[in-house]
Amino acid sequence: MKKLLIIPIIILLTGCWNYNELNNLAICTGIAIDKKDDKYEVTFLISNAKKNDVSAKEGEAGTTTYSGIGDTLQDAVNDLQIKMPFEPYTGHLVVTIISEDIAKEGLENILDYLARDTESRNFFYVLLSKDAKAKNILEIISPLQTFPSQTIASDIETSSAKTSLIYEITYNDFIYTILEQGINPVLNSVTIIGDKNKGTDSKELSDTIPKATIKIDTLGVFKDDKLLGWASKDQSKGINLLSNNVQNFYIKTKCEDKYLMNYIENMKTKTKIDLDKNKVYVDISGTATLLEVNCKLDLENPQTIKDIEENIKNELNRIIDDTKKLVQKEYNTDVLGYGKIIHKKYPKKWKNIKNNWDEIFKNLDIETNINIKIEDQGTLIQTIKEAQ
Amino acid sequence: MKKLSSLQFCAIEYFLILANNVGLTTYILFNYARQDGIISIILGTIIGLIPLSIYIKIINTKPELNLFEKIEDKFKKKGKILNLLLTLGISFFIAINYNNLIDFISSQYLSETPQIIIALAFLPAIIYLTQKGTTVIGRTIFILLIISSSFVLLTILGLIWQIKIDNILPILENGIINPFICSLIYVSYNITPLFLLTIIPKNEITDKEKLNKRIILTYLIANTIVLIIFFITLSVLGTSLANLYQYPEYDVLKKVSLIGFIERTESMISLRWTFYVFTITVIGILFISKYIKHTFKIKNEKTNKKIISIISLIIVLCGKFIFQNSSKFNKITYDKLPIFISIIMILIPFIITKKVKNKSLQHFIHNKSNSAHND
Repeated sequence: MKKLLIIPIIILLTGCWNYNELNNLAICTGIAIDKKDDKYEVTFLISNAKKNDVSAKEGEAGTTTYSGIGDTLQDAVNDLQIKMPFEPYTGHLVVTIISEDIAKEGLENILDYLARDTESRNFFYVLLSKDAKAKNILEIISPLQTFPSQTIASDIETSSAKTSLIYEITYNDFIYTILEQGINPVLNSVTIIGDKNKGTDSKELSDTIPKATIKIDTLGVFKDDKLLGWASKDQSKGINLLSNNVQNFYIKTKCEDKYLMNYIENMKTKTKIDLDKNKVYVDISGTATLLEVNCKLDLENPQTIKDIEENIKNELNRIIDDTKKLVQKEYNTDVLGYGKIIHKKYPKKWKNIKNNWDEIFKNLDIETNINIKIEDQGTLIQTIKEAQ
Repeated sequence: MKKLSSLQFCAIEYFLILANNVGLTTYILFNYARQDGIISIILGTIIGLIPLSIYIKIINTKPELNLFEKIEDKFKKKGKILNLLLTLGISFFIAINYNNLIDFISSQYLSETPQIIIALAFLPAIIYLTQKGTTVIGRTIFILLIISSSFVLLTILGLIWQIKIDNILPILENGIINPFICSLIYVSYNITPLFLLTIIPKNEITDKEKLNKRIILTYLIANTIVLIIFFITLSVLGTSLANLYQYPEYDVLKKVSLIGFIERTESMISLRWTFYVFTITVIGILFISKYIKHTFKIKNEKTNKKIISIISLIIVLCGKFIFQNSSKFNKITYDKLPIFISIIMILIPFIITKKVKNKSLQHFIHNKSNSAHND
């Protein structure tokens, strides 16, 4: 009996049916989805292209892209797969860029396809292409990173940690906000600066000035799964700030006819909602550091510091007012998640108001209480001008 | 005869409680109780004490006999029918469990592999272990418990930083009825498998005097683990995402991150579910083989081994024939199966204990009247 058992063990436990050699996989690290004549155009950025093996010349990209067209995403993927010698593997997918046109029509179909895929991990970044084809963005080579997808991912990670403009939005986060009650999603956008045709040429990398670069841009504002439009730079910062997605914030204030740069750290936004009064109370706190002072100020005088703090407060209020106008009046979409807060805290009230939430949100009075303290002035006690 | 320690017995108990969690209980809790699944688990744990006490009572009655002998001892000829019903019910239950594991492996790891091959892959290990008997099963499962506990710990540590308490709110948004129904389903899927433990006679356990306390303690620990894992999954993913996936516990494992470099560990960590279902299958097949051995009075060890092999093959393969697709599986597992399981694994054991109680009472009255008569 034992001997008989050895036979199935030998057959069954020696390897996997799905076994695939790494050499036979096309590792896809980026996907771009565009619209072409009412059809989907899907582009896969393959990051283990063999051309890197052939020539070890530094700077030569090891990436390549393949595109396919179809009525559905899978159809388009099938089309591109015919052109590829290897099977695409999406387990290491880093970014997916969706074109603005598709986002305006709604992302429902795209979301379903990507979520159903068992290989991809759903924690890749999702971005919207702005003023450029998603496919072209994925083809731009950076002098600092080997893969364009990695350039975008690094850009998001570095910038989100330092600035308030970008917030790390993964695919799962995006689906979550679409499915959750009382909140609408936002997405980071990405665009090309420079000549897109030269940006794909690896020979151009030898130049000191890149011919084209990728830039993570402002937020796209959604209602459900449809893109309504774009926020400005300040409005994007404001949305992130009011949604408590900001930790650090660079802020520029006026002093005399010049500027003063501050860096706010440990930012926290606490939101309370009083539905009876139709009011939202937003408490924003943080500690600021003076980074650059271009005017003559007596920084040793406590009143000067108080004035700067007041200026920061005013500037933040201006940004927030601008944001309120955009989300409440212009687009009337609750990307700030106030409906979600009500749903979580007052589920019974939410049941009664959820069908009219857009109207209620439009007329909500958002009151901000900003408490930013300057704790650090850098290594200088005075300004250079003051010292002179 | 080699014996099982009470710790090994409790390791089996722990695995049986967790066996149906992935793909069955959690799926139902997220879909029907949503964030109130936490309340369902707590309620289920409390309600589950009732079947647990029934099983403990069966284990403690006539400790030298196994379940089938106990039933026939009490019910005589009717006992044979009860034994058959129990065995058929358990066979169906085990087939469903195994089918659930195959579905999981097929959808998450081996999407291109025919399910029949996946089903057969575990067969040699199941047959070998069942043939070896309770002692070897106990030892093996105790080792698997240590490994799976480290995976649970890794899951908790890797996800605890990503918990968002907001995600478990609002509590009882749609009333208590759904969470209550789900708590009953929780009992039928997570607690009733403990009935399989009654197949091991208490006398086969070395330190049996500690057994009752340890069973209850393990019961509480296992249910707490279920609760913690559910809470983490819910608070990291949120109800909407947890609802979207068939295996939210697996998807949340993709987020496990420790010290910045322990990542992409989901395939390894999720191995513990394979251990759980493997255990319930082995114990289930042991249950069925003991029934056949008892009913047909099989003394020859070789014949017994052959029977185990055939049963294992049938059980492993028939799950696929019962449910052709996962939609059918999900529907039946919510509305029909819990009732069926409750009848087989709560009602019948309850009748058994009731009969035992009546018999004991009659015996007690008889003794009393005899002594009074003598006086």
